[in-house]
Amino acid sequence: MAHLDWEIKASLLMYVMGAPGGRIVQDDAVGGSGASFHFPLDPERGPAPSPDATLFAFTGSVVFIGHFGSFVGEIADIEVTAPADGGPDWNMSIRDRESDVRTVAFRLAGSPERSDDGARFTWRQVELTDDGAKLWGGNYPVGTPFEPVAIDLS
Amino acid sequence: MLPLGLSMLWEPVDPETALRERFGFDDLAAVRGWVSKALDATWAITVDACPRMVISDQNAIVWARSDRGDLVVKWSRARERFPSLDASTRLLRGLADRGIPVAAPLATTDGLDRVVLDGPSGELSVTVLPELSGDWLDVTDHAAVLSAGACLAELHLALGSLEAGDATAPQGARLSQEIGDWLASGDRGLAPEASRRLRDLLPGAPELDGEPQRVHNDFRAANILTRDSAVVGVLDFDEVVVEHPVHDLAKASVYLSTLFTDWPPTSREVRQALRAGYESVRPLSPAEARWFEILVLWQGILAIPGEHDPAGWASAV
Repeated sequence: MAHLDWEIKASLLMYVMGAPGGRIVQDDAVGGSGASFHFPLDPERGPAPSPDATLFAFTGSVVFIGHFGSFVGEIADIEVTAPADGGPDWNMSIRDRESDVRTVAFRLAGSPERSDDGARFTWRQVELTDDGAKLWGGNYPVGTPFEPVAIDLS
Repeated sequence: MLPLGLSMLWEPVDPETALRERFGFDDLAAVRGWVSKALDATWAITVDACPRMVISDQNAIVWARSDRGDLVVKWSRARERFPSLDASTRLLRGLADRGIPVAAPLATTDGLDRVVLDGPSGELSVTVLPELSGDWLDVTDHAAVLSAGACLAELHLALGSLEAGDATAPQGARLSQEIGDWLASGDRGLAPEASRRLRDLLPGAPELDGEPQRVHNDFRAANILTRDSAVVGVLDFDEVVVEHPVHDLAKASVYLSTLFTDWPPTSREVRQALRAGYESVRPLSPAEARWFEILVLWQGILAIPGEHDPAGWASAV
């Protein structure tokens, strides 16, 4: 099934898994090994996209809990959208499930690299946006690099 | 310390299966054979034993005993990460060349610090590092904390001399805005008096001089090795970001005491010693000193975990 592959941020995983009371809480929709995550395509918001689509919508939530149970951040209901302003960069937004507010939190730099069959495309450079930095409560500044993102439509 | 033999860093999966499916090795003996051949052919290093291996996602670390001492061999099969791994290896090399105590990559016989090699099931980006030895920073050791402060300043000077790349960076004005926004909508009210002090300090904050640059961003006991009260190793450059050095110093002041599953706040005395050590190498400008006070306070409030605060982070701000 089509999905988005993302390790999110390896050092963040390292922190929450090492801190006392730290943990990762993921809902049933999210697959993966626990060190990287597979967010499945949301058939309602983005049914059967083609490789040329300009919107890819995924479901699932991963919550990061830090030392002594502190909330660090949440990645939920990801959407990846093509550049709307003619610029080169794609946007990746996430939704705050509590407030139902969607934020363009990540900049996916440039055009994705496509696999030979065109079914998998990858952005190597993923950076936190101005609005995205606010979601992490000052822990990560604007421009903080996150792990590469890949969409797999096979 | 991780157990001997093969283990996963934290994923709840069978390590033997992960080893086979992700990297194509049947068992740790097969890893040992491959590592021995690779290090002999590419680095001219003779490996005696590989007592430990840990897997995390598409990455692995193998500990090796060799004729060049105890080593760690790190590899990844995630091709999309190869460029960033190259960059982090260059960073380590640059810091080592500037005298910072880091695990400097061992160059191959061709003079390369990281190479792509054929593994059993695909290409691996591989680097070989010395295993640094020392004791984790003990924040009750005043001389060691002074040394850590001096080391952080030297690290900032070294990082400042390296190219920062094209990452975006926050400026002083943006920092004021960021903290102001956080006070307005992000503050959880866990330390109201500290928040009030922060709100009072912010309007008078001067323009922050100096340029943002790459900083370590995770300078704390768990990433600092010492011997005889002196820093002999700085670990983990995975959190490097572009920030102003005083922001990094402030964050280090707040989190310096944290070590693996032990997460106490850093006492005022230890923070003062860290700053004294830092300023023995890189004195803060008047503007930086004002911002240091603001940023320590902000980071201290951010570090409060919540109502459940057994280590007393709220009372430390």
